[in-house]
Amino acid sequence: MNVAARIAVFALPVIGLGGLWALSDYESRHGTQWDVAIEGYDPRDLLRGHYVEFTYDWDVHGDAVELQDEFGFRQQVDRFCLTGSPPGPPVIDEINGDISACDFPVEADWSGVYGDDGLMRGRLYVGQDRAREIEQAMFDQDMRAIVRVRLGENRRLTPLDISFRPLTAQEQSERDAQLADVSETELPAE
Amino acid sequence: MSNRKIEAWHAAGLIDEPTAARLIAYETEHARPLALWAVFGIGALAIGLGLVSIVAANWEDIPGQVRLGIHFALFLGGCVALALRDRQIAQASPWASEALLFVLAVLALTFFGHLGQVYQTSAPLWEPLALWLALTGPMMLLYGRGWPVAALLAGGAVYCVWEYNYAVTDLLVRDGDHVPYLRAALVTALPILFAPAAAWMRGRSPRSSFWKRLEQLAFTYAVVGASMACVIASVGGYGEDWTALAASAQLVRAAIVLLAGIGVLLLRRTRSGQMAGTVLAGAALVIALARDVDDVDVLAAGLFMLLWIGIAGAALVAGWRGVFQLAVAVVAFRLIVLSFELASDLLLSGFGLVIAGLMILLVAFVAVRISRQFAPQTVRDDGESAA
Repeated sequence: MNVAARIAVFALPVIGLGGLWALSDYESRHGTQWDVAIEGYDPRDLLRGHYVEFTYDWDVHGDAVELQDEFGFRQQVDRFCLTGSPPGPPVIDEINGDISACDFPVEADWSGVYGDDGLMRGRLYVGQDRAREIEQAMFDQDMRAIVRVRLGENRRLTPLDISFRPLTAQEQSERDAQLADVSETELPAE
Repeated sequence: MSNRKIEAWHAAGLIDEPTAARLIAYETEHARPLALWAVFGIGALAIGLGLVSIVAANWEDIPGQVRLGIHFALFLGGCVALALRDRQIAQASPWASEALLFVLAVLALTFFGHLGQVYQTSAPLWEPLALWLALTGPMMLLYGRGWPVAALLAGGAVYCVWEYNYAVTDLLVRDGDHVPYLRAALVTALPILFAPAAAWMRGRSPRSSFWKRLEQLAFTYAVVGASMACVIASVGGYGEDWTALAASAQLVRAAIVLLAGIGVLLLRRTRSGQMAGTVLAGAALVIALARDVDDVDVLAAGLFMLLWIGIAGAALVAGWRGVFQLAVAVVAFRLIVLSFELASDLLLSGFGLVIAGLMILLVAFVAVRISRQFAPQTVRDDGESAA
Protein backbone atom coordinates (compact mmCIF):
# COMPACT_ATOMS: atom_id res chain seq x y z
CA MET A 1 0.00 0.00 0.00
CA ASN A 2 1.62 3.26 -0.96
CA VAL A 3 2.13 6.11 1.45
CA ALA A 4 -0.20 8.52 -0.34
CA ALA A 5 -3.17 6.12 -0.11
CA ARG A 6 -2.40 5.43 3.53
CA ILE A 7 -2.36 9.14 4.40
CA ALA A 8 -5.47 9.77 2.27
CA VAL A 9 -7.71 7.17 3.95
CA PHE A 10 -7.03 8.66 7.38
CA ALA A 11 -6.98 12.29 6.28
CA LEU A 12 -10.41 11.86 4.64
CA PRO A 13 -12.45 11.19 7.81
CA VAL A 14 -10.36 13.63 9.88
CA ILE A 15 -10.92 16.47 7.39
CA GLY A 16 -14.53 15.43 6.79
CA LEU A 17 -15.52 15.32 10.45
CA GLY A 18 -13.55 18.48 11.19
CA GLY A 19 -15.24 20.26 8.31
CA LEU A 20 -18.66 19.12 9.45
CA TRP A 21 -17.93 20.43 12.94
CA ALA A 22 -16.78 23.80 11.53
CA LEU A 23 -19.91 24.02 9.36
CA SER A 24 -22.23 23.23 12.28
CA ASP A 25 -20.45 25.84 14.36
CA TYR A 26 -20.65 28.44 11.58
CA GLU A 27 -24.37 27.84 11.08
CA SER A 28 -25.02 28.04 14.81
CA ARG A 29 -23.58 31.57 14.85
CA HIS A 30 -25.66 32.87 11.95
CA GLY A 31 -29.34 33.61 11.47
CA THR A 32 -31.71 35.51 13.73
CA GLN A 33 -32.96 34.62 17.20
CA TRP A 34 -36.63 34.89 18.14
CA ASP A 35 -38.61 34.44 21.34
CA VAL A 36 -41.75 32.43 20.73
CA ALA A 37 -44.39 31.65 23.36
CA ILE A 38 -45.01 27.93 23.83
CA GLU A 39 -47.55 25.79 25.57
CA GLY A 40 -48.13 22.14 26.23
CA TYR A 41 -44.54 21.47 27.08
CA ASP A 42 -43.48 18.18 28.45
CA PRO A 43 -40.03 17.13 29.72
CA ARG A 44 -39.16 13.72 28.33
CA ASP A 45 -36.52 11.30 29.35
CA LEU A 46 -36.03 8.68 26.71
CA LEU A 47 -32.97 6.57 26.04
CA ARG A 48 -31.64 9.03 23.53
CA GLY A 49 -31.41 11.77 26.11
CA HIS A 50 -33.41 14.35 27.96
CA TYR A 51 -35.53 16.75 26.04
CA VAL A 52 -38.48 19.05 26.43
CA GLU A 53 -41.28 18.69 23.93
CA PHE A 54 -43.47 21.73 23.33
CA THR A 55 -46.12 23.25 21.06
CA TYR A 56 -45.50 26.70 19.56
CA ASP A 57 -48.13 29.26 20.47
CA TRP A 58 -47.71 31.42 17.34
CA ASP A 59 -49.19 34.91 17.36
CA VAL A 60 -51.36 34.66 14.25
CA HIS A 61 -53.21 37.53 12.52
CA GLY A 62 -55.24 38.04 9.38
CA ASP A 63 -56.62 35.13 7.36
CA ALA A 64 -54.40 32.67 9.15
CA VAL A 65 -56.45 33.02 12.37
CA GLU A 66 -59.12 30.80 10.85
CA LEU A 67 -56.65 27.95 10.53
CA GLN A 68 -55.66 27.92 14.18
CA ASP A 69 -57.50 26.31 17.04
CA GLU A 70 -56.53 25.34 20.55
CA PHE A 71 -54.64 22.28 19.30
CA GLY A 72 -52.48 24.16 16.82
CA PHE A 73 -53.07 24.47 13.08
CA ARG A 74 -55.82 22.59 11.32
CA GLN A 75 -53.83 21.91 8.17
CA GLN A 76 -50.26 21.05 7.21
CA VAL A 77 -48.10 24.13 7.69
CA ASP A 78 -45.24 24.19 5.25
CA ARG A 79 -44.04 27.79 5.47
CA PHE A 80 -44.81 31.24 6.76
CA CYS A 81 -43.23 34.64 7.16
CA LEU A 82 -42.27 36.10 10.52
CA THR A 83 -42.84 39.83 10.83
CA GLY A 84 -41.45 42.11 13.50
CA SER A 85 -37.82 42.44 14.46
CA PRO A 86 -35.85 39.79 16.30
CA PRO A 87 -36.22 38.64 18.99
CA GLY A 88 -39.87 39.46 18.50
CA PRO A 89 -42.40 38.42 19.63
CA PRO A 90 -42.91 37.41 15.98
CA VAL A 91 -46.26 37.82 14.23
CA ILE A 92 -47.59 35.65 11.41
CA ASP A 93 -49.99 37.18 8.88
CA GLU A 94 -50.32 34.39 6.34
CA ILE A 95 -49.68 30.67 6.30
CA ASN A 96 -48.36 28.67 3.31
CA GLY A 97 -48.32 31.85 1.22
CA ASP A 98 -45.62 33.34 -0.97
CA ILE A 99 -42.52 33.96 1.15
CA SER A 100 -40.14 35.10 -1.58
CA ALA A 101 -40.23 38.73 -0.47
CA CYS A 102 -40.09 37.91 3.22
CA ASP A 103 -37.21 39.03 5.43
CA PHE A 104 -37.61 36.16 7.88
CA PRO A 105 -39.02 33.16 5.99
CA VAL A 106 -39.61 29.92 7.91
CA GLU A 107 -40.03 26.50 6.31
CA ALA A 108 -40.96 23.19 7.92
CA ASP A 109 -38.16 20.65 8.20
CA TRP A 110 -39.90 17.59 6.79
CA SER A 111 -36.99 15.40 7.67
CA GLY A 112 -37.07 16.41 11.34
CA VAL A 113 -38.51 14.29 14.11
CA TYR A 114 -41.96 15.88 13.76
CA GLY A 115 -42.13 15.67 9.97
CA ASP A 116 -44.96 17.85 8.64
CA ASP A 117 -45.71 18.95 12.21
CA GLY A 118 -42.36 20.70 12.47
CA LEU A 119 -43.72 24.26 12.68
CA MET A 120 -46.24 23.37 15.37
CA ARG A 121 -44.13 21.28 17.66
CA GLY A 122 -40.49 21.27 18.66
CA ARG A 123 -38.09 19.74 21.07
CA LEU A 124 -35.16 21.09 23.01
CA TYR A 125 -32.48 18.72 24.24
CA VAL A 126 -31.46 19.68 27.76
CA GLY A 127 -29.51 18.24 30.65
CA GLN A 128 -31.06 16.32 33.51
CA ASP A 129 -30.96 19.25 35.95
CA ARG A 130 -32.34 21.76 33.48
CA ALA A 131 -35.12 19.35 32.55
CA ARG A 132 -36.11 19.14 36.23
CA GLU A 133 -36.14 22.95 36.54
CA ILE A 134 -38.37 23.30 33.50
CA GLU A 135 -40.65 20.58 34.79
CA GLN A 136 -41.12 22.48 38.07
CA ALA A 137 -41.56 25.84 36.36
CA MET A 138 -44.33 24.51 34.13
CA PHE A 139 -46.58 23.90 37.14
CA ASP A 140 -46.57 27.65 37.86
CA GLN A 141 -49.80 29.01 36.37
CA ASP A 142 -48.58 32.61 36.56
CA MET A 143 -45.61 32.05 34.29
CA ARG A 144 -45.44 31.95 30.53
CA ALA A 145 -42.92 29.67 28.82
CA ILE A 146 -40.88 31.16 25.99
CA VAL A 147 -38.60 29.26 23.67
CA ARG A 148 -35.71 31.03 22.03
CA VAL A 149 -35.27 29.72 18.50
CA ARG A 150 -32.63 30.44 15.91
CA LEU A 151 -33.91 31.01 12.40
CA GLY A 152 -31.05 29.88 10.18
CA GLU A 153 -30.29 30.91 6.62
CA ASN A 154 -31.71 27.54 5.61
CA ARG A 155 -35.15 28.79 6.88
CA ARG A 156 -35.24 26.15 9.63
CA LEU A 157 -36.02 26.75 13.28
CA THR A 158 -33.60 25.44 15.90
CA PRO A 159 -34.70 25.69 19.56
CA LEU A 160 -31.91 27.06 21.75
CA ASP A 161 -33.34 27.54 25.23
CA ILE A 162 -36.55 27.74 27.22
CA SER A 163 -37.19 30.54 29.72
CA PHE A 164 -40.18 31.74 31.77
CA ARG A 165 -41.67 35.19 32.30
CA PRO A 166 -44.62 36.34 34.43
CA LEU A 167 -47.98 36.61 32.63
CA THR A 168 -48.96 40.08 31.43
CA ALA A 169 -52.15 41.63 32.87
CA GLN A 170 -54.05 40.79 29.68
CA GLU A 171 -52.86 37.19 29.66
CA GLN A 172 -53.82 36.90 33.32
CA SER A 173 -57.38 38.08 32.68
CA GLU A 174 -57.65 35.74 29.67
CA ARG A 175 -56.52 32.85 31.80
CA ASP A 176 -58.94 33.71 34.61
CA ALA A 177 -61.79 33.93 32.11
CA GLN A 178 -60.83 30.54 30.74
CA LEU A 179 -60.67 28.99 34.19
CA ALA A 180 -64.11 30.48 35.07
CA ASP A 181 -65.44 29.08 31.80
CA VAL A 182 -64.23 25.60 32.66
CA SER A 183 -65.70 25.65 36.17
CA GLU A 184 -69.11 26.85 34.86
CA THR A 185 -69.32 24.08 32.29
CA GLU A 186 -71.51 21.39 33.69
CA LEU A 187 -71.18 17.75 32.83
CA PRO A 188 -73.96 16.61 30.53
CA ALA A 189 -76.64 14.56 32.29
CA GLU A 190 -76.54 10.90 31.41
CA MET B 1 -2.18 -27.31 40.47
CA SER B 2 -0.75 -27.04 43.94
CA ASN B 3 2.71 -28.34 44.72
CA ARG B 4 1.24 -30.33 47.59
CA LYS B 5 -0.19 -32.85 45.08
CA ILE B 6 3.19 -33.29 43.40
CA GLU B 7 4.85 -33.82 46.79
CA ALA B 8 2.19 -36.38 47.71
CA TRP B 9 2.78 -38.28 44.43
CA HIS B 10 6.52 -38.19 45.11
CA ALA B 11 5.97 -39.49 48.68
CA ALA B 12 3.77 -42.30 47.32
CA GLY B 13 6.57 -43.29 44.96
CA LEU B 14 4.58 -42.49 41.79
CA ILE B 15 7.20 -40.01 40.50
CA ASP B 16 10.88 -39.76 41.28
CA GLU B 17 12.72 -36.82 42.83
CA PRO B 18 14.00 -35.09 39.64
CA THR B 19 10.55 -35.39 37.99
CA ALA B 20 8.92 -33.85 41.04
CA ALA B 21 11.45 -31.02 41.00
CA ARG B 22 10.90 -30.45 37.27
CA LEU B 23 7.11 -30.47 37.70
CA ILE B 24 7.32 -27.98 40.55
CA ALA B 25 9.64 -25.74 38.53
CA TYR B 26 7.30 -25.95 35.52
CA GLU B 27 4.23 -25.19 37.60
CA THR B 28 5.93 -22.19 39.22
CA GLU B 29 6.92 -20.83 35.84
CA HIS B 30 3.50 -21.33 34.24
CA ALA B 31 1.43 -20.43 37.27
CA ARG B 32 -1.64 -18.37 36.38
CA PRO B 33 -2.59 -16.39 39.45
CA LEU B 34 -6.26 -16.27 38.49
CA ALA B 35 -7.37 -14.85 41.82
CA LEU B 36 -4.87 -12.01 41.54
CA TRP B 37 -5.89 -11.34 37.95
CA ALA B 38 -9.51 -11.30 39.01
CA VAL B 39 -8.78 -8.72 41.71
CA PHE B 40 -6.87 -6.56 39.22
CA GLY B 41 -9.67 -7.00 36.72
CA ILE B 42 -12.33 -5.96 39.19
CA GLY B 43 -10.23 -2.95 40.23
CA ALA B 44 -9.72 -1.88 36.61
CA LEU B 45 -13.42 -2.38 35.85
CA ALA B 46 -14.40 -0.28 38.89
CA ILE B 47 -12.08 2.54 37.83
CA GLY B 48 -13.36 2.38 34.26
CA LEU B 49 -17.03 2.38 35.28
CA GLY B 50 -16.34 5.17 37.76
CA LEU B 51 -14.75 7.32 35.05
CA VAL B 52 -17.66 6.65 32.71
CA SER B 53 -20.21 7.64 35.32
CA ILE B 54 -18.27 10.77 36.35
CA VAL B 55 -18.27 11.85 32.71
CA ALA B 56 -21.93 10.85 32.25
CA ALA B 57 -23.11 12.69 35.37
CA ASN B 58 -21.32 15.88 34.37
CA TRP B 59 -21.98 15.53 30.66
CA GLU B 60 -24.15 18.64 30.41
CA ASP B 61 -21.73 20.70 32.50
CA ILE B 62 -18.87 20.02 30.10
CA PRO B 63 -19.09 22.71 27.39
CA GLY B 64 -20.07 21.27 24.02
CA GLN B 65 -16.92 22.50 22.31
CA VAL B 66 -14.72 20.81 24.92
CA ARG B 67 -16.61 17.52 24.58
CA LEU B 68 -16.40 17.63 20.80
CA GLY B 69 -12.73 18.57 21.07
CA ILE B 70 -11.94 15.53 23.22
CA HIS B 71 -14.00 13.28 20.93
CA PHE B 72 -12.20 14.63 17.87
CA ALA B 73 -8.77 14.38 19.51
CA LEU B 74 -9.38 10.71 20.39
CA PHE B 75 -10.33 10.01 16.78
CA LEU B 76 -7.35 11.93 15.44
CA GLY B 77 -4.95 10.17 17.82
CA GLY B 78 -6.29 6.75 16.77
CA CYS B 79 -5.92 7.65 13.11
CA VAL B 80 -2.32 8.78 13.59
CA ALA B 81 -1.50 5.64 15.59
CA LEU B 82 -2.99 3.34 12.96
CA ALA B 83 -1.43 5.23 10.04
CA LEU B 84 2.07 5.18 11.54
CA ARG B 85 2.13 1.96 13.54
CA ASP B 86 -0.38 -0.41 11.93
CA ARG B 87 2.27 -2.95 10.96
CA GLN B 88 3.80 -3.08 14.44
CA ILE B 89 0.39 -3.31 16.12
CA ALA B 90 -0.71 -6.08 13.76
CA GLN B 91 2.50 -8.00 14.36
CA ALA B 92 1.91 -7.93 18.10
CA SER B 93 -1.72 -8.96 17.60
CA PRO B 94 -3.90 -8.68 14.46
CA TRP B 95 -6.90 -8.32 16.74
CA ALA B 96 -5.45 -5.20 18.38
CA SER B 97 -5.24 -3.51 14.99
CA GLU B 98 -8.75 -4.70 14.08
CA ALA B 99 -10.12 -3.48 17.42
CA LEU B 100 -8.47 -0.07 17.03
CA LEU B 101 -9.93 0.32 13.54
CA PHE B 102 -13.38 -0.72 14.78
CA VAL B 103 -13.23 1.78 17.66
CA LEU B 104 -12.11 4.53 15.26
CA ALA B 105 -15.03 3.85 12.92
CA VAL B 106 -17.48 3.87 15.85
CA LEU B 107 -15.94 7.10 17.19
CA ALA B 108 -16.50 8.68 13.77
CA LEU B 109 -20.11 7.47 13.70
CA THR B 110 -20.90 8.76 17.18
CA PHE B 111 -19.32 12.11 16.28
CA PHE B 112 -22.34 12.79 14.06
CA GLY B 113 -24.72 12.19 16.95
CA HIS B 114 -22.52 14.28 19.23
CA LEU B 115 -22.59 17.21 16.78
CA GLY B 116 -26.38 16.97 16.66
CA GLN B 117 -26.55 17.02 20.44
CA VAL B 118 -24.30 20.07 20.82
CA TYR B 119 -25.85 22.12 18.01
CA GLN B 120 -29.44 20.81 18.36
CA THR B 121 -29.52 19.79 14.72
CA SER B 122 -31.31 16.89 13.12
CA ALA B 123 -31.33 15.19 9.74
CA PRO B 124 -32.82 12.03 8.22
CA LEU B 125 -30.69 9.17 9.55
CA TRP B 126 -29.44 8.06 6.15
CA GLU B 127 -27.58 11.32 5.61
CA PRO B 128 -25.09 10.99 8.48
CA LEU B 129 -24.84 7.23 7.80
CA ALA B 130 -24.02 7.82 4.13
CA LEU B 131 -21.51 10.51 5.00
CA TRP B 132 -19.98 8.19 7.58
CA LEU B 133 -19.65 5.40 4.99
CA ALA B 134 -18.07 7.82 2.53
CA LEU B 135 -15.59 9.14 5.09
CA THR B 136 -14.60 5.96 6.93
CA GLY B 137 -15.37 3.33 4.25
CA PRO B 138 -11.97 3.66 2.53
CA MET B 139 -10.22 3.31 5.89
CA MET B 140 -12.18 0.15 6.73
CA LEU B 141 -11.64 -1.35 3.26
CA LEU B 142 -7.91 -0.69 3.34
CA TYR B 143 -7.22 -1.78 6.92
CA GLY B 144 -9.99 -4.24 7.89
CA ARG B 145 -8.64 -7.67 8.89
CA GLY B 146 -11.59 -9.69 10.18
CA TRP B 147 -15.29 -9.96 10.75
CA PRO B 148 -15.83 -7.05 13.22
CA VAL B 149 -14.92 -4.36 10.69
CA ALA B 150 -16.53 -6.30 7.82
CA ALA B 151 -19.77 -6.54 9.82
CA LEU B 152 -19.65 -2.86 10.77
CA LEU B 153 -19.14 -1.84 7.16
CA ALA B 154 -21.76 -4.16 5.64
CA GLY B 155 -24.23 -3.57 8.48
CA GLY B 156 -23.79 0.20 8.23
CA ALA B 157 -24.34 0.06 4.48
CA VAL B 158 -27.52 -2.05 4.75
CA TYR B 159 -28.91 0.15 7.52
CA CYS B 160 -28.12 3.27 5.52
CA VAL B 161 -29.82 2.12 2.30
CA TRP B 162 -33.03 1.11 4.11
CA GLU B 163 -33.10 4.39 6.02
CA TYR B 164 -32.74 6.10 2.64
CA ASN B 165 -35.57 3.99 1.26
CA TYR B 166 -37.76 4.96 4.23
CA ALA B 167 -36.89 8.66 3.91
CA VAL B 168 -37.61 9.06 0.19
CA THR B 169 -40.59 6.72 -0.10
CA ASP B 170 -42.35 7.66 3.15
CA LEU B 171 -40.90 10.24 5.55
CA LEU B 172 -40.27 13.08 3.09
CA VAL B 173 -43.20 12.39 0.75
CA ARG B 174 -45.69 15.24 0.62
CA ASP B 175 -49.20 14.88 -0.71
CA GLY B 176 -49.10 14.60 -4.49
CA ASP B 177 -45.33 14.18 -4.68
CA HIS B 178 -43.72 11.78 -7.12
CA VAL B 179 -42.10 8.97 -5.13
CA PRO B 180 -38.67 8.03 -6.58
CA TYR B 181 -39.21 4.34 -5.84
CA LEU B 182 -37.00 3.01 -8.64
CA ARG B 183 -34.05 5.00 -7.33
CA ALA B 184 -34.84 3.76 -3.83
CA ALA B 185 -34.99 0.14 -5.06
CA LEU B 186 -31.65 0.56 -6.82
CA VAL B 187 -30.07 1.98 -3.66
CA THR B 188 -31.42 -0.80 -1.42
CA ALA B 189 -29.77 -3.40 -3.68
CA LEU B 190 -26.35 -1.71 -3.76
CA PRO B 191 -24.81 -3.47 -0.68
CA ILE B 192 -24.98 -6.73 -2.71
CA LEU B 193 -22.19 -5.33 -4.85
CA PHE B 194 -19.80 -5.91 -1.95
CA ALA B 195 -19.97 -9.58 -3.05
CA PRO B 196 -18.24 -9.33 -6.46
CA ALA B 197 -15.85 -6.67 -5.15
CA ALA B 198 -14.83 -8.86 -2.21
CA ALA B 199 -14.68 -11.96 -4.44
CA TRP B 200 -12.21 -10.14 -6.63
CA MET B 201 -10.09 -8.96 -3.69
CA ARG B 202 -10.05 -12.33 -1.91
CA GLY B 203 -7.34 -13.80 -4.10
CA ARG B 204 -5.32 -10.59 -4.31
CA SER B 205 -5.15 -9.25 -0.78
CA PRO B 206 -3.10 -10.50 2.17
CA ARG B 207 -6.23 -9.76 4.25
CA SER B 208 -8.26 -12.49 2.56
CA SER B 209 -10.30 -13.31 5.69
CA PHE B 210 -11.68 -9.73 5.73
CA TRP B 211 -12.79 -9.96 2.09
CA LYS B 212 -14.20 -13.42 2.66
CA ARG B 213 -16.36 -12.12 5.51
CA LEU B 214 -17.48 -9.15 3.45
CA GLU B 215 -18.48 -11.44 0.58
CA GLN B 216 -20.34 -13.73 2.97
CA LEU B 217 -22.23 -10.78 4.45
CA ALA B 218 -23.27 -9.50 1.01
CA PHE B 219 -24.28 -13.04 0.03
CA THR B 220 -26.34 -13.33 3.22
CA TYR B 221 -28.03 -9.98 2.47
CA ALA B 222 -29.07 -11.27 -0.98
CA VAL B 223 -30.37 -14.59 0.35
CA VAL B 224 -32.27 -12.92 3.20
CA GLY B 225 -33.69 -10.42 0.71
CA ALA B 226 -34.87 -13.17 -1.65
CA SER B 227 -36.38 -15.09 1.30
CA MET B 228 -38.18 -11.93 2.43
CA ALA B 229 -39.50 -11.46 -1.11
CA CYS B 230 -41.12 -14.93 -0.79
CA VAL B 231 -42.43 -14.27 2.71
CA ILE B 232 -44.06 -11.05 1.47
CA ALA B 233 -45.72 -13.10 -1.32
CA SER B 234 -46.92 -15.62 1.29
CA VAL B 235 -48.77 -12.94 3.22
CA GLY B 236 -50.02 -11.26 0.06
CA GLY B 237 -48.00 -8.11 0.68
CA TYR B 238 -47.50 -7.18 -2.98
CA GLY B 239 -51.18 -6.63 -3.52
CA GLU B 240 -51.15 -3.48 -1.45
CA ASP B 241 -50.62 -0.25 -3.27
CA TRP B 242 -47.08 0.23 -2.04
CA THR B 243 -44.72 1.45 -4.73
CA ALA B 244 -41.59 0.44 -2.81
CA LEU B 245 -42.45 -3.16 -3.84
CA ALA B 246 -43.73 -2.37 -7.36
CA ALA B 247 -42.91 -4.87 -10.12
CA SER B 248 -40.37 -2.52 -11.70
CA ALA B 249 -38.71 -1.89 -8.32
CA GLN B 250 -38.35 -5.63 -7.71
CA LEU B 251 -36.91 -6.08 -11.21
CA VAL B 252 -34.32 -3.40 -10.50
CA ARG B 253 -33.35 -5.20 -7.29
CA ALA B 254 -33.21 -8.56 -9.09
CA ALA B 255 -31.03 -7.07 -11.83
CA ILE B 256 -28.46 -5.82 -9.30
CA VAL B 257 -28.38 -9.20 -7.52
CA LEU B 258 -27.98 -10.96 -10.89
CA LEU B 259 -25.14 -8.59 -11.74
CA ALA B 260 -23.46 -9.40 -8.43
CA GLY B 261 -23.90 -13.14 -9.09
CA ILE B 262 -22.33 -12.92 -12.55
CA GLY B 263 -19.54 -10.86 -11.04
CA VAL B 264 -18.78 -13.52 -8.43
CA LEU B 265 -18.96 -16.26 -11.10
CA LEU B 266 -16.42 -14.45 -13.25
CA LEU B 267 -14.13 -13.21 -10.50
CA ARG B 268 -13.77 -16.21 -8.20
CA ARG B 269 -13.13 -19.26 -10.30
CA THR B 270 -13.14 -21.87 -7.58
CA ARG B 271 -15.88 -24.39 -6.89
CA SER B 272 -17.06 -22.33 -3.91
CA GLY B 273 -17.00 -19.13 -5.99
CA GLN B 274 -19.00 -20.74 -8.81
CA MET B 275 -21.62 -21.96 -6.34
CA ALA B 276 -21.84 -18.59 -4.56
CA GLY B 277 -22.37 -16.87 -7.91
CA THR B 278 -25.00 -19.41 -8.92
CA VAL B 279 -26.92 -18.96 -5.67
CA LEU B 280 -26.87 -15.18 -6.15
CA ALA B 281 -28.25 -15.59 -9.68
CA GLY B 282 -30.95 -17.88 -8.26
CA ALA B 283 -31.78 -15.34 -5.58
CA ALA B 284 -32.18 -12.72 -8.32
CA LEU B 285 -34.63 -14.98 -10.14
CA VAL B 286 -36.62 -15.53 -6.92
CA ILE B 287 -36.80 -11.78 -6.24
CA ALA B 288 -38.07 -11.20 -9.78
CA LEU B 289 -40.65 -14.01 -9.62
CA ALA B 290 -41.94 -13.61 -6.06
CA ARG B 291 -44.33 -10.85 -7.09
CA ASP B 292 -46.09 -13.18 -9.54
CA VAL B 293 -47.00 -15.72 -6.86
CA ASP B 294 -48.43 -13.07 -4.55
CA ASP B 295 -50.97 -14.53 -2.13
CA VAL B 296 -50.79 -18.04 -3.61
CA ASP B 297 -49.75 -20.07 -0.56
CA VAL B 298 -48.36 -23.15 -2.30
CA LEU B 299 -46.43 -21.33 -5.00
CA ALA B 300 -44.97 -18.75 -2.61
CA ALA B 301 -43.83 -21.50 -0.25
CA GLY B 302 -42.60 -23.54 -3.23
CA LEU B 303 -40.48 -20.65 -4.48
CA PHE B 304 -39.05 -20.16 -1.00
CA MET B 305 -38.18 -23.85 -0.67
CA LEU B 306 -36.77 -23.94 -4.19
CA LEU B 307 -34.37 -21.17 -3.23
CA TRP B 308 -33.24 -23.00 -0.10
CA ILE B 309 -33.03 -26.42 -1.79
CA GLY B 310 -30.83 -24.70 -4.35
CA ILE B 311 -28.68 -23.33 -1.54
CA ALA B 312 -28.47 -26.83 -0.01
CA GLY B 313 -27.38 -28.24 -3.38
CA ALA B 314 -24.77 -25.52 -3.82
CA ALA B 315 -23.53 -26.21 -0.29
CA LEU B 316 -23.18 -29.92 -1.13
CA VAL B 317 -21.07 -29.15 -4.19
CA ALA B 318 -18.98 -26.44 -2.54
CA GLY B 319 -18.56 -28.20 0.80
CA TRP B 320 -20.25 -25.66 3.06
CA ARG B 321 -21.31 -27.90 5.93
CA GLY B 322 -23.01 -25.30 8.13
CA VAL B 323 -24.85 -23.74 5.20
CA PHE B 324 -26.17 -27.15 4.14
CA GLN B 325 -27.51 -27.90 7.63
CA LEU B 326 -29.07 -24.45 7.87
CA ALA B 327 -30.73 -24.88 4.47
CA VAL B 328 -32.23 -28.26 5.43
CA ALA B 329 -33.55 -26.78 8.68
CA VAL B 330 -35.08 -23.80 6.85
CA VAL B 331 -36.81 -26.02 4.27
CA ALA B 332 -38.18 -28.26 7.06
CA PHE B 333 -39.46 -25.23 8.96
CA ARG B 334 -41.11 -23.83 5.84
CA LEU B 335 -42.82 -27.19 5.21
CA ILE B 336 -44.29 -27.11 8.71
CA VAL B 337 -45.48 -23.52 8.27
CA LEU B 338 -46.98 -24.42 4.90
CA SER B 339 -48.99 -27.24 6.40
CA PHE B 340 -50.60 -24.80 8.79
CA GLU B 341 -51.19 -22.26 6.01
CA LEU B 342 -53.00 -24.88 3.94
CA ALA B 343 -54.97 -26.47 6.77
CA SER B 344 -55.31 -23.86 9.47
CA ASP B 345 -58.24 -25.80 10.93
CA LEU B 346 -55.79 -28.55 11.98
CA LEU B 347 -55.33 -26.66 15.22
CA LEU B 348 -59.04 -26.48 15.94
CA SER B 349 -59.67 -30.14 16.76
CA GLY B 350 -57.92 -32.64 19.00
CA PHE B 351 -57.44 -35.07 16.13
CA GLY B 352 -56.01 -32.30 13.93
CA LEU B 353 -53.55 -31.36 16.66
CA VAL B 354 -52.33 -34.96 16.88
CA ILE B 355 -51.84 -35.10 13.10
CA ALA B 356 -50.03 -31.74 13.13
CA GLY B 357 -47.77 -32.89 15.95
CA LEU B 358 -46.95 -36.18 14.18
CA MET B 359 -46.18 -34.33 10.99
CA ILE B 360 -43.85 -31.88 12.73
CA LEU B 361 -42.01 -34.83 14.32
CA LEU B 362 -41.73 -36.58 10.96
CA VAL B 363 -40.41 -33.52 9.14
CA ALA B 364 -37.96 -32.77 11.95
CA PHE B 365 -36.78 -36.41 11.99
CA VAL B 366 -36.20 -36.52 8.24
CA ALA B 367 -34.46 -33.14 8.33
CA VAL B 368 -32.10 -34.25 11.09
CA ARG B 369 -31.32 -37.49 9.22
CA ILE B 370 -30.59 -35.69 5.96
CA SER B 371 -28.55 -33.08 7.77
CA ARG B 372 -26.42 -35.73 9.51
CA GLN B 373 -26.01 -38.13 6.63
CA PHE B 374 -25.45 -35.89 3.68
CA ALA B 375 -23.80 -32.79 5.14
CA PRO B 376 -20.47 -32.31 3.35
CA GLN B 377 -17.21 -32.13 5.22
CA THR B 378 -16.07 -28.56 5.52
CA VAL B 379 -13.30 -27.73 3.10
CA ARG B 380 -10.59 -26.32 5.29
CA ASP B 381 -8.34 -23.34 5.38
CA ASP B 382 -7.66 -22.52 1.79
CA GLY B 383 -10.04 -19.62 2.20
CA GLU B 384 -12.73 -21.68 0.47
CA SER B 385 -14.51 -23.24 3.39
CA ALA B 386 -17.73 -21.30 2.91
CA ALA B 387 -19.33 -18.87 0.54
